[in-house]
Amino acid sequence: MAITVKLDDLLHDNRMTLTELAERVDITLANLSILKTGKAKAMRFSTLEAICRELKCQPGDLLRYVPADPE
Amino acid sequence: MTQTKKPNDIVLKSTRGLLIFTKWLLVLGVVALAIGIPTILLFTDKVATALADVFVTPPGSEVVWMIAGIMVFGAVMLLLTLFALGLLRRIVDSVGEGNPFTRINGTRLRGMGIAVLAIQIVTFFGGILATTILAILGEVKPDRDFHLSIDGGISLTGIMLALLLVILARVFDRGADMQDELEGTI
Repeated sequence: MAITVKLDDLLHDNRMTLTELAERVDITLANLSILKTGKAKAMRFSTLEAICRELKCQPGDLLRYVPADPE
Repeated sequence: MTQTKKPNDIVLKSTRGLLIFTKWLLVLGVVALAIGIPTILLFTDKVATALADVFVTPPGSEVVWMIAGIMVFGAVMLLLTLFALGLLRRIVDSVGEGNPFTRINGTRLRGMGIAVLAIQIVTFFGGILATTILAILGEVKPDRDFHLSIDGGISLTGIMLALLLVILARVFDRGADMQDELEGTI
């Protein structure tokens, strides 16, 4: 997918673990791992809002568009 | 996969019970026909004599073979109904498990639709055969109280049910797609 989630960087910047974030945003660790590894198909605004609130960032800080290589 | 609460309410329980009861009734019917068909073919003469006792024109053994044919149509119809009920029971079970929007349920509904259509076709040809038999048998003896009417055309309700099931199968296919999308959403 051309959209990547920069959750690792933001967690590092905020000195927070994935488990801690999962507890704070009330999402299971399994689902947050899916999001982190880029396997999620879609993201709810409520999830985005919760993550941005806890990691003190903007949606643009969390998501990045990487154009796919032209075949 | 997301599992919702298990709605094992009275409607599901009674539907399951009714389906199991109907299944065994149908099995009984199939067994009766499986015994009856070879029996009347073994005793063709006796059946023909019994028919000659009721009808003015004594029928030949070919009529007994045609009656056996009707019974075969009946057995096929019962087997198709059993097949459709088996599929319906699995769908009801999946509703009980709280996860009905799956592709397999779409396939099951499509199978039920095809079974209902096949039952209509079998009923139609069975009706033609039965009408032919009645025409061959002709008049009933005046002192005998025997009346039989055949109603074996194509049923509009049956065709509508088949179409409804096939459309419902598509609804379930779409539901399964939406379920997939929902499961990939965080």
